[in-house]
Amino acid sequence: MIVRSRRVVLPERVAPASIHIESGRISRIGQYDERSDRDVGDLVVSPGLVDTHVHVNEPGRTEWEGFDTATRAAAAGGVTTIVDMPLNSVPATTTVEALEAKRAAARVACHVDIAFWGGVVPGNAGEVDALVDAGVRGFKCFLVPSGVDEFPHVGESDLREAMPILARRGVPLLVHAELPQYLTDLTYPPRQTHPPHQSYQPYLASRPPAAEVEAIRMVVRLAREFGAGVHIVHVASAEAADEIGRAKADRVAITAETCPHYLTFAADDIPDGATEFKCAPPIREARHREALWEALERGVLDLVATDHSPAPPSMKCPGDFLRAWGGIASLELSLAAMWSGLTGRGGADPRVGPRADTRVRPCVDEYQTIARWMSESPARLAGLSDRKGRIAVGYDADLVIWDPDAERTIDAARLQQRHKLTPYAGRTLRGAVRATYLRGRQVWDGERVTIAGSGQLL
Amino acid sequence: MRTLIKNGTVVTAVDQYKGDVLIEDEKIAVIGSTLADIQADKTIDASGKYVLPGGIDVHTHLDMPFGGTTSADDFESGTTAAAFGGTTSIVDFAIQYRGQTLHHACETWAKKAEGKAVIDYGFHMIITELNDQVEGEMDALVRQGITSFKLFMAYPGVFMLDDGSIFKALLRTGKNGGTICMHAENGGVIDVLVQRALAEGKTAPKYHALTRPARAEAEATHRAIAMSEIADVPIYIVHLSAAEALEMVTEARDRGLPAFAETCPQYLFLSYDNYEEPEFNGAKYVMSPPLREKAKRDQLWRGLAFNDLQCISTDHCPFCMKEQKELGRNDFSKIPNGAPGIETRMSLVYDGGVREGRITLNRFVELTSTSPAKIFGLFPRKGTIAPGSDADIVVFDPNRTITLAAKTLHMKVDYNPYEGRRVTGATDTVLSRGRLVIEDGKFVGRAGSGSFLKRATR
Repeated sequence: MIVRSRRVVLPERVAPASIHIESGRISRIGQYDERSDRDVGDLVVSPGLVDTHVHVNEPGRTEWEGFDTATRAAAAGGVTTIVDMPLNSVPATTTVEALEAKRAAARVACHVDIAFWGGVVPGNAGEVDALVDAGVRGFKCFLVPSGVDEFPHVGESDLREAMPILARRGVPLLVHAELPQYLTDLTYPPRQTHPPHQSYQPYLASRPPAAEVEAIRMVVRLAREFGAGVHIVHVASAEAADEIGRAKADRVAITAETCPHYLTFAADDIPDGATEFKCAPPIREARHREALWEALERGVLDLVATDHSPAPPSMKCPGDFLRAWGGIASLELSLAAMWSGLTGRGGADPRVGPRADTRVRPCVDEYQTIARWMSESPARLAGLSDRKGRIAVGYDADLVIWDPDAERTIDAARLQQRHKLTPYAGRTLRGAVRATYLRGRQVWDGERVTIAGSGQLL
Repeated sequence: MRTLIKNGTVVTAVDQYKGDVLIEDEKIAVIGSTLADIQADKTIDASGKYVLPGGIDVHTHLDMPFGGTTSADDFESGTTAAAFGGTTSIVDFAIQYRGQTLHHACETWAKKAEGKAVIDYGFHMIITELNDQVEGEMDALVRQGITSFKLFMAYPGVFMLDDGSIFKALLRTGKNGGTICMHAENGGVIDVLVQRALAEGKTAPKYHALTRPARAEAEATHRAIAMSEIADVPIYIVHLSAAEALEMVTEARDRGLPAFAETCPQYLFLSYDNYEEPEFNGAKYVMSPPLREKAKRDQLWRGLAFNDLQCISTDHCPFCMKEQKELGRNDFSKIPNGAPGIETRMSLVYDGGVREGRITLNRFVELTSTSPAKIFGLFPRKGTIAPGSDADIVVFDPNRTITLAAKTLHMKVDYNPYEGRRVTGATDTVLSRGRLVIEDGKFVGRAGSGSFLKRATR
């Protein structure tokens, strides 16, 4: 099969090209003037997105999301690979047994490819080797309570046990970087629940940037000591980004992500009671949003992942920021959110190479920027860069075909995720996915899943 | 004319895969895991070899008058040697002498190259005198595809510009889209040191190095970057040799400034110790900036690995020992500055960089081809292997060992700074815009078939 477009996002340039696909892989790349089976004209063909931060929550909390609905949302959003987080499922992925339980659940209905992160929790350092052998791409840990009892947070002593093993195995440690001693516990002293915590401000103030900064400092210190690769998930503050920038300038093996919601929203715009905006770390004031964009553009932050973390509407407790479950689901909207944000900004000098990264080249335009942040760099984090994240000969033919100019107003009811709750509702975004190809087969046609169950476990 | 390069491993700045490359006339038409079904007029078997984008050397001085003599290679011998070494494009320096127009310099250098070059060539323009008329000419040159200008902070009275003129030129490139390349050494300080040394009877070649301290390079590098920051334009530091100067570039890049720099193989493989060679042999290595301490070379390699340095060029400027270097037998300041290197770059950097594990294979391609193309307005026409790009291709044998020697190399100079050095990794076959120039180590090109490269602005 041959797909051609006038705008194919190749590793080093955007160009008219024909993509030949054989047995699910890209076998040739030729010029646009070849005959083709599908000519998409001016629609952009980008490498399928790789989202390294997804909470599928199955088994155990399938009523929150589940493999079927999560991977439908992924296909609809042009995401062809997700890497599932070890927590919110029961059991949490902290043992090989739990990983197998998760794989068994995933095999039933998966519409995009899926890989798994393991978890580091107190006392499970002995499981790390076996989990790597069993195929997890790396490990996630929390430095603050995660919100679920089966995934307790770790302290420095726990990390000192795990990190030498991670360094030896060459897999990254993903860290939820907030330290508990810098957070205000809103439940003490017990407060009158009427009126509930309608205002966003107290919640925001309870999780200050200092909690991120201090956590990153500790992790950087350990990364230096043990030579393990660390990855800071969902960076939400300017100060945290600065801290990562300093570590990178010092050539520490650190990478970092932020999420579309930190780049789209600002605290001042969050209405009273709008708990669909609640997540941790919190969405902060507008100056942080600007700083995060800049950090991405300078390569201080490496990639964008969604932290797709849905929960039933009842748990989102409309009107009460204290009791509401934190988490934003945006797997289906990340491309449009990022494209809208990026094209709404002025460009930097495109030749400024990302700092402190030996592998990333200066990006040359916005389509490549998106591919780097959302396909190539996440694939590398997950150790999948030999087959995912690029339109190149020998790579899986995972493609997202999209219209960068189409605008649409987000109708939550039409989203594929299980619970139709999103802070993006009513917002107008640029960029619409017209088709998603997974290993050479169209799994999404712009309206619906066209081939179900073709996702593989990586 | 269709040429097929079969069974090789294609390597670009971002990819490495087993694949075939089809060339139609001057361009790359198709790349694929196998193109066995395609009929070609000529087939090149690259089994066990790398198929690389042709090298781009953005710093050469062919047929250049200097210190009462002329560099030993003209455009025919120089570009032939370049091709033997796996380089398919050069950017040479045209010189405006004081009292002359840029236009005159352009015509002079165009004549030097015409009918002689065997590979494509472009020009930077060296400006030694800046006035309103010359500023106007800068704009005209940019429109003609000479989009970079070299200025000197050294050689007072010959090439050096004062800071005011440098700043004006920087400002001008903010408007016309050109790029300033800087020879960064504090010429005033150096001249005083040279006069003092000579007065003390210190005339041996090694005093060339001892009168050009690393700090004089660092100071000028810092000043050049500061002026470019004030002018809000990018800057490119040529032939960076001192770790102290690299620190200045790194600091600027950590702050997000578009500061770029190249280094050269001589600064990576030779050192101050060479000046201590017996008799007059130190003169072989008289170049500016001079070779530095051996112990500091690792910092340059680190800079290359971490993208603090973006390019490796040669500063090829050969003078024979006989009759040329000899001019300074009794006075180091009269030794013509420069050394040969246009032919040995790729093999040296592959052997000492990739094989020694200091840089990756992709980074090797990026440093010797892709980044120079991007920074100097040749990308994506040059610097990659992709459909639509010029078929400038090198078939490189990573396992063949050669011994570098003046006798067997093709540069027209009577010595080689690396005489007797064995390096593994050598160029077998070279195509320039689809035409064979070197085939299995033999020259099959033609003088005059290289074209002038009209380069793009940033």
